[in-house]
Amino acid sequence: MSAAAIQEGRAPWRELVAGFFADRLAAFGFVLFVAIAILALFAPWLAPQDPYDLANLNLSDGRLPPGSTGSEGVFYFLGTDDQGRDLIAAIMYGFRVSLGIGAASSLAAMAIGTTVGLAAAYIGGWLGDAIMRIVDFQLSIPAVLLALMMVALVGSGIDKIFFALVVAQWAYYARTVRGIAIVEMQADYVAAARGLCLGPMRILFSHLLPNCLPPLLVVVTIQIAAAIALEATLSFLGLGLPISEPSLGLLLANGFQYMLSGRYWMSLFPGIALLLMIVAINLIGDRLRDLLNVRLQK
Amino acid sequence: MTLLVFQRVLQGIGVVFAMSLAVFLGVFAIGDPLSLLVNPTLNQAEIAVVAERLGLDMPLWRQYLHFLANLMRGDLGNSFVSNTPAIGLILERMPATLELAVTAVLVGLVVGIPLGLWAGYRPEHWTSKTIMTGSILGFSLPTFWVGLMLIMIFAIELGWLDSGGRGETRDWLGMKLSVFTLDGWSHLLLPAANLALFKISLVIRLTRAGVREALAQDYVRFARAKGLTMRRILVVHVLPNILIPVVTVTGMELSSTIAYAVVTETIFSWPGMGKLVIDSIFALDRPVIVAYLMIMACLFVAINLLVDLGYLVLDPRLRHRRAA
Repeated sequence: MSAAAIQEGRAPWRELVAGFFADRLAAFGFVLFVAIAILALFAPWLAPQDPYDLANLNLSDGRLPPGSTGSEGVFYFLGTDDQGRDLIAAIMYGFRVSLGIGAASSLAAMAIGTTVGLAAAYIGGWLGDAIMRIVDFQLSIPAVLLALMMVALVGSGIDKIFFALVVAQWAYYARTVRGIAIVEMQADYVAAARGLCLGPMRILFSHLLPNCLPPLLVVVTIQIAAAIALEATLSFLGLGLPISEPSLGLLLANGFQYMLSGRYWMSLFPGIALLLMIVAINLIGDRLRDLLNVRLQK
Repeated sequence: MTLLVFQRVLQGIGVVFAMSLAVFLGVFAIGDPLSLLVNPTLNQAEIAVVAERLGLDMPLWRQYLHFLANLMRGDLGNSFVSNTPAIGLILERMPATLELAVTAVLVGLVVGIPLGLWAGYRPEHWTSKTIMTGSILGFSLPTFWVGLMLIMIFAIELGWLDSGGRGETRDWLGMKLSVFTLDGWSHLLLPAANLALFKISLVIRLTRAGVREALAQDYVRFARAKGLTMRRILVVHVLPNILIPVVTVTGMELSSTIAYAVVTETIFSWPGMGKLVIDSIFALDRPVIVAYLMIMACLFVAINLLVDLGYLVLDPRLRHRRAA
């Protein structure tokens, strides 16, 4: 981090953590995110029912408003959906699906994009330029359109959505990493590593890559939020995940049919849940960007 | 300047070619073109005839040339559903989408610029902080979520506006548009606001950053020394200087607005290209999907070209540098 921190012997990551929590909004986002992540991770143990197990669902309890008691004396705090799913349980499992696919696709896209970006910077010349042309071309197409195109071609389902999300995201990482790596290539440590006759793989991954990490951290945070929103959008349009394992987007879409008849809770609560998750991640990302962006630091 | 325009046009053509290659590879190489392009209700003999007509027995590169040649003629096959040319179907729906997207971008500018000016002029004021927090929210909210909320509040609870279809339209230059009737506006307002929210946030951020940078410049200090009011300095001196990047980015954003219209049109049953392509994906109507993608590529290239040209017109420095 800053030179002062290094002189005072404080570890850079401590500086980062302290700076992060100095901002109340960011701290709030972090706490919210941790809470959601715990709900998502431990949903099978925390949720009042398993919303995927049809034997567990009571159709006669369908479409109950918030705060009603079901036929077997179960209390539904947020009401139920048309299948008789307790919305609390459905939302917890929805977190699991949305967060899981968002994070997994972002990390996969990061692995691919980072490798491509580093390679393009290291190779340079016409080949490096050609790679970046492809990246630029892809970035000129809006992500939602790209994902739609993929889903239209390969069909829907969890693996296909994952594929579509990775395709929609990898270019951002490639562009970011290549931009930093081009600058870093000029640094003395790279010249020194080259002077030591280290192999290109070693220079790329153990010398260049660590120096690209701060911006990557910011991009990955923001991209996870974007991927979650994109998956929810696809699922909402009915092109995403199967109805048997509802993500938040699908819950919203289901509830949407009932909204005109005044049964607001079926789409309102999953909507709020989705919103809280995305806002929490974006608050974290925003703060990280402020902290890690060297240009903004005094 | 002519050289630059020429360069841009060439680049645009390159992008359309790249898109055609991507769509071609997607449909013909990755997927099974027979199942993608041939109506599944046909029998075996009919399928063989269609396969030959489509040239599927030829090597891949010749198939691509064939595809390109058809593309040049504007022939991308007939829709399976309506059995009319796919391109015609899309073009018929285009005015509705463009009307929606352009309205949304204009709303974004009209609302975003004043808010951004204020937030940049008084960054520490509580109203500015509220505006900026609001803009984070505007970035975070998924489009379809905002659409649902708008319908819930303004169409269902309050009953002020309509949430389905285009309402009454009038013909203008051969296009049906909603903007000329009151009923049309009552239908247009909610979807346009839905799409505009993200633009408003973006414009606020851009304008605010521009104002903060401009306020530190000498020409602002000089204008102040002359005793001009802050209002005049902001509107007459600062605004033209920051408008160029704002307009450029907003112009580029028109492309993504048209893409995101897919979502908004579906929610509000707005009969545009986006609604058509979603319906076509469900109906497995591939020729329409291919036509949509190609038309979108051309549209994006055209918009980017116009923005580049607009940039040249707006910024005299750029014009002279290129001319010299």
